[in-house]
Amino acid sequence: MGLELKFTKKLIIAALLLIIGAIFPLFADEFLVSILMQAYLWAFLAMSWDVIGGYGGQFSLGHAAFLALGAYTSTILLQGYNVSPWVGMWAAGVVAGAAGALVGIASLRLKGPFFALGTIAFAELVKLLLLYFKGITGGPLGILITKSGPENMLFETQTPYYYLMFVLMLAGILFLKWFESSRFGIGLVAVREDEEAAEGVGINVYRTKVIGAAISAFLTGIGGTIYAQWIHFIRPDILVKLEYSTQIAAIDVVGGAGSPYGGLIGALILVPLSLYLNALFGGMIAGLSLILYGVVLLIVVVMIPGGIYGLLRRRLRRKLPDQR
Amino acid sequence: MIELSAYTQLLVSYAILGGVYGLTALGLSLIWGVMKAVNWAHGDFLMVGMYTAFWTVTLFGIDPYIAAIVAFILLGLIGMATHIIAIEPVVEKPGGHEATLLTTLGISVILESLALILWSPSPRSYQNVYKDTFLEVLGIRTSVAEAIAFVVSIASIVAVDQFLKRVRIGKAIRAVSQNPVGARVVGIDVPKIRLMTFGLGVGLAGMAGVLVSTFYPNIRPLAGYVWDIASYVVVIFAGLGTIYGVIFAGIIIGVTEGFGTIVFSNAFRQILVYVVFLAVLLLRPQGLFGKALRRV
Amino acid sequence: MIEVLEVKGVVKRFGGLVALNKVSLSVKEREFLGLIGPNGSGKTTLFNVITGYYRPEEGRVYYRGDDITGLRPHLIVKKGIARTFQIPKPFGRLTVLENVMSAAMYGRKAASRSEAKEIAMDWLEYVRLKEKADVEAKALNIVERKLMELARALSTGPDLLLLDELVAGLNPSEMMEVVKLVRKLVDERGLTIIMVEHVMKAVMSISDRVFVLHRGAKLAEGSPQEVSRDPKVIEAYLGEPIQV
Repeated sequence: MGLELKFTKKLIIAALLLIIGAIFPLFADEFLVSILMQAYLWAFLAMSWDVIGGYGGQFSLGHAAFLALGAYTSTILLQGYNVSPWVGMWAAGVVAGAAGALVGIASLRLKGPFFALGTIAFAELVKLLLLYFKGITGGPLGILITKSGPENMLFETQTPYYYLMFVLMLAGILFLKWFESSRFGIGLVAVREDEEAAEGVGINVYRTKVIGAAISAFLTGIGGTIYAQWIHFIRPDILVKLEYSTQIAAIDVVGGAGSPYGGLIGALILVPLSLYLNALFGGMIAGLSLILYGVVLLIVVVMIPGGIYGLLRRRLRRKLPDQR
Repeated sequence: MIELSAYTQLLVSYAILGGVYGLTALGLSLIWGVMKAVNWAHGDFLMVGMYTAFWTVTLFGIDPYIAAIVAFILLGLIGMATHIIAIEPVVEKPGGHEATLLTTLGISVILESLALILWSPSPRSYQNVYKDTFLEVLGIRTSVAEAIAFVVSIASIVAVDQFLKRVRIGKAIRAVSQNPVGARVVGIDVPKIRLMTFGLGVGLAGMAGVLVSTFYPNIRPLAGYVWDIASYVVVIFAGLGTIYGVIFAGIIIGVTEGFGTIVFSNAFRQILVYVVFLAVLLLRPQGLFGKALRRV
Repeated sequence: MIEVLEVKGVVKRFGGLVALNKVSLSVKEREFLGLIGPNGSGKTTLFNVITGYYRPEEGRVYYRGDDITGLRPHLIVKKGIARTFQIPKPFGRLTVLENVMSAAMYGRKAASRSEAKEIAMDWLEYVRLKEKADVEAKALNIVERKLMELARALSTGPDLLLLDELVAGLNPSEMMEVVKLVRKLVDERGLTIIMVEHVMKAVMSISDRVFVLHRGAKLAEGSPQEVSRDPKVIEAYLGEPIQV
């Protein structure tokens, strides 16, 4: 009886949030809409990272590279070959996913902080390669999106972008909810929990790690397309930033890595906060939002393992012992 | 003939830089050896060292090499404070290594942001007589600043090595790096040793920062980033936990970088550095001189 | 009687230490083989070689005639061999049910999710752990962990089961329960089992045959009665003859 009630309560809360989210642009001003929208995008990126960062237990600090690879793929297809990003984003995912597989292979040899270091170097390498192959990528000048029209995922006002990112964020949550009880998802977590035992139940640990990384990168690449479509201009040094990779990881860690809601919770807290601080202090003191991430990261890792979602779960579990 | 001399000149310059890389890497090596922590803020501590030199020279007009001592002490203290906040709470817990990467990343971000706010992004440099005086040794010309930087780096590394072998605290540090449990059993205050080691490692970085600032005219809040990668390449190349290895590795990396600048374009040279880094990480993570660290 | 497992002349070295010194062993179908020996005699090492965690320097391992020497552990599971670990290795943050389901999905049966759930529940019921199905594995006590690990190994659908000190640490009544469960696996379900154990009473009472390992080499082999009276075994390990 108690369980059923809890489920209904959850459903009502979820429905309420969904409705509020859906009608938000109708009553809020553009600025707020823009903030919430960016939160959704970063939430999606954090959720993509969560596949290997949270569920996989592989702490990547190079995810901005996948963002960039995705953005470049769909943008080059759009500007150079007139391919709509609605199609291009899948190609973006594939390209990013292939790079992710490489990182996955590296994760077989590198553990823990070595892996993180490796991903940082990998991201830098991707940035340098994007700058180097000027013929394809436009090098340090970047690519400006000059096309237009909804068929090219380009809109005149913020509202359609809001809904685009809203749907993206929801898709992310639904995906993770499905993923965490799917065959592969359970296998990935098993590998994270105990590699030897995972081998011992028949899991191919190598394959699992590589595919997990590829999936994470694939999703991030799609996020990259959406991001490019929103900012209309891409350049290697504005996309592949250690700050972005850190931001993605920090948002997920704060919200709760290894859970479907961690990305959203983290983003809803950190993104508006950092945007607010940026707006308050202006572009001159760009460092302040970075300070925020640094401090928050520090606090969470030291004092609140499992992030905010983990904290909430523990509180709830005190009411219902032995339940997940 | 003149061509050859110019190349040699450049390589010597980079070898000297390599010596300073070695000093920076030494700090990282010690920190890893004793507590298996990754200090992502190392380059930023070096940056603070650079600014320490800048401000003490500009405001008080004193000799940069005295600033080096100031920086060593100042950064040592900052390092210990960092250790208390960001390292000690997590280093003994499971997953502590990754956690230190995260927490020091946080510290790094904080340091860079503070530097941006306090000192603005514009690059600084200061005048000093050492930069402008030149030596000639065996046909190679270098500035006195570079020469001293190299000598001091090597001397410091030797000093640290002797410290670890002869001074009681130094020996305790070695004991902890070899066997933390055993060290505790024989009565060594392991947390205190960790604190001191971290302070020492960061102090060395600060000193390296001062040395670099004497000949490198580009003191910026984000300067640390370049040094992070370079010093990590050196440390991993040498092998985490080695001492003298870092000298050789530093010089080799420095010269390779210099070689890269001569032969390849600047862009390609940077790519090369990262490719080498990844290759070493993947193929021989224990470096040239270190013992194998990972169990597969 | 089919030979399910054949270990031929296996040598395993760790640096200068010879952990296994030309060990040969064979197990027939539906046999219950007890593997005993002092600490450090190489029992777990032998398990690790059979299940692919270690590669032997010399010698070969055959499963139903196939050479499985040096195959990676997950492939060996797919062939039909499963094992438990001396210290249980649960997937801590998965539920008990998910732990066991993972084995059903990735093991030899390669079951779909829904099938896997059924298989997992069946085995959980068998080891009397069904009520804990939705508990996070890391919340289990040591006895429950061992039982879960047994259920997990069984869910891979093995013919050959290797048990590493399953009953160590259990009180006498728990031990009897588990021993009965395990023996039933051979008698009623047709499994073949090799069990490493220190608790002599348990091993001797349920084994069909006993193999004694000492310093990485075979010391004795035979029925429980024979082995327990073997003077070499008594001197090296038992101390005094065991009443079987």
